[in-house]
Amino acid sequence: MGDTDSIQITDMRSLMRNGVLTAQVTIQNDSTSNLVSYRFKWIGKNGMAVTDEEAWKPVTIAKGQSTVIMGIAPTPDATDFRFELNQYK
Amino acid sequence: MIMKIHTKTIYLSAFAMSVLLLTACSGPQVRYGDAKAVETVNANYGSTDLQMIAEAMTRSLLQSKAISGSKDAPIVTLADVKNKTSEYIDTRVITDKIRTQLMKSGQVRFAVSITEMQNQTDELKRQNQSGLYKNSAIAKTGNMQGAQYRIEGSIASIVKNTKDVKDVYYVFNLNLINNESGLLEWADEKEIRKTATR
Repeated sequence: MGDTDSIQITDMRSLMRNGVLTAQVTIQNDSTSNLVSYRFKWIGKNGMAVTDEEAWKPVTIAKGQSTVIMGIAPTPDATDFRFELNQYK
Repeated sequence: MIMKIHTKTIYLSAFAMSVLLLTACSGPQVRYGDAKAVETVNANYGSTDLQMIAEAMTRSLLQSKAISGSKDAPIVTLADVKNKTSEYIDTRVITDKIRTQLMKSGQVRFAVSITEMQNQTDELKRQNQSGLYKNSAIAKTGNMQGAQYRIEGSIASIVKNTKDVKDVYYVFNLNLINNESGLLEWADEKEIRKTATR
């Protein structure tokens, strides 16, 4: 969403820790310093979202920087996740 | 011929006038925004800070041994979050947000906090002492459940100003304390930095 073509998602993984899904996404910025915001969407067993929309969280990535973003599901019902990126002014 | 031209110009100018009037009358517009969007109006405490803090603290608390390792959902109450910054921050909103998210997860039970005790005792008094209620259908005094843990914390800030830059750094600290043993069962912090350039 927005102008996030310069951000690459290089890795996505998840595991169950303490009964709750933990997701980890690595993103890399290939061009100029960019202000992006991210959020996770948590999906349950039947493909339905298990929570309300999360708030957008801003992160600053310099050119060439690769950063790891971790997310923890809010309920034990989450079995899958989606990662959303957006630009913010 | 002259009459026709005159009426044409009159119609045209009347139309032009009405268009001008319409655009002049449109004034300031109101539009609903996204409550979850990033807010960057200024470098003071804002909605995105509140959302980030509440979410980070909730997720971390749900992973703590006291909550995830206990068989039944533990009973927690909210204590004070001190505002050690120079801004006006309603810390009660932060803890209420954390409490709501924890309740929705189903992993924690909450007991009424000190600020809500007045309502609780008023309601119990009303049911037990007013003499209006059937004895078999009331909530009896003396049966409240005490909380095993309490949540308290503080928020502090460091603000630096120059002619061109204002840099604000917040650190939010939250602790889970065992009410009986007085031990700290969990603690976490969230750091936020905002920079405003003129």
